[in-house]
Amino acid sequence: MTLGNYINIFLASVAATFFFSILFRSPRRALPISSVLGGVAYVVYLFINQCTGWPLLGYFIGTLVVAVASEIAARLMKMPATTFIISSVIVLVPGFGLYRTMLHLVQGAYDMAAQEGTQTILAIGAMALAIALGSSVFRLKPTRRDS
Amino acid sequence: MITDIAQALRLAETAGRVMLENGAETYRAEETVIHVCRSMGLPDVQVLVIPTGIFLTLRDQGGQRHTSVVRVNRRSINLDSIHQANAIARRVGELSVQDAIDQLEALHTRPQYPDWFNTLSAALCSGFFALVFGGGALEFVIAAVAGLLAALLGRWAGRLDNYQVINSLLGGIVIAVVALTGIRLAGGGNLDAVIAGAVLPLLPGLAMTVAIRDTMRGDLVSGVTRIAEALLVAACVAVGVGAVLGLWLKIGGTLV
Repeated sequence: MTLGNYINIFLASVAATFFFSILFRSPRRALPISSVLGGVAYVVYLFINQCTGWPLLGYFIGTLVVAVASEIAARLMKMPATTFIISSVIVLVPGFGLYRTMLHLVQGAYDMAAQEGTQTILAIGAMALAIALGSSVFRLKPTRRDS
Repeated sequence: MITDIAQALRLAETAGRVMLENGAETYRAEETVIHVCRSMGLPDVQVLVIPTGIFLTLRDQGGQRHTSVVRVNRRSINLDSIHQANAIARRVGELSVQDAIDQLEALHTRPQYPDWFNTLSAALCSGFFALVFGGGALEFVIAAVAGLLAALLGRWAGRLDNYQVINSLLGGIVIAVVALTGIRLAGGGNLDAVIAGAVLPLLPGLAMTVAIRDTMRGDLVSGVTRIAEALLVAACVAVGVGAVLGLWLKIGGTLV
């Protein structure tokens, strides 16, 4: 992939995340950050996938970067971190894998479906782990709940 | 300090309910309720929030317990309302209790973006996702049309069914039909990019994210509930798309 490809995909991801944030009625002030983070998430995923040939690592690192950046943005802008995370990680949600799994199933190619389905579930697992890790790093200080 | 305990209870349950109805995590709803009660000088509060309801008991200065159970049926996603409700809850000390209740209730009636803009966003969102998945101008247009129809249908179906089942199923069907028709009319194109892009706004990315955050905080009931919700929605979308593609292949169509 050339640099030009990356830039095109980055711009498309930013635009997609922007309109997605509006669907979720994101606060106006949060729109620019969420959109850019969406683009960053997908480019990081693509880059790592291309370098290592291991998509799961891409899902993990891409989501982790967004989760940490969202926590930082949440503190700077005094908004819940969820506002940013929800909109930004959506580009990484493996809709493509889910669709391919379904396609193989209706074609009766169960072995292919199992393979594609397992990868989809693992990708979601990698994202879950990254979100959990990214958010908990910022919760090391005691919260009100401990009282 | 608060004297009217009924009013205080109402504010606490309204704050929790508004958070939950707009798609906040359950721990956030719980924290908001606790914060509101403390700001009113009622530190002794027990609250349990699950995605479908709130259980709340607080003790007044005389030591007497007051309990409220709130059932939450309507759940939608409004990140701005969560943010606003959070801000209102943090100002409860300065605001009067009645003002705070009024402001929280007003969040429901305040449209942030006009309806047509929301629908248009759904279309453009689908279109740009098709580009991300390797589509070109043709795929952008087909995915945008599919996303638009799915959003319009979803708005209509949303009135019938709160739990996104019909919504997701119909969305999947419409997207697959539009994608197949569009690619056929254009005489070829990237069907994968169109369907994967158009379907993405329907997928339960939010339910999944919130489920993880809930589980991580130890709110196991909420976490498991939301994971079930996410799986159900994803399965509905997949079945909708799969049914159409399966039927198409059965009657002898080909996937270009």
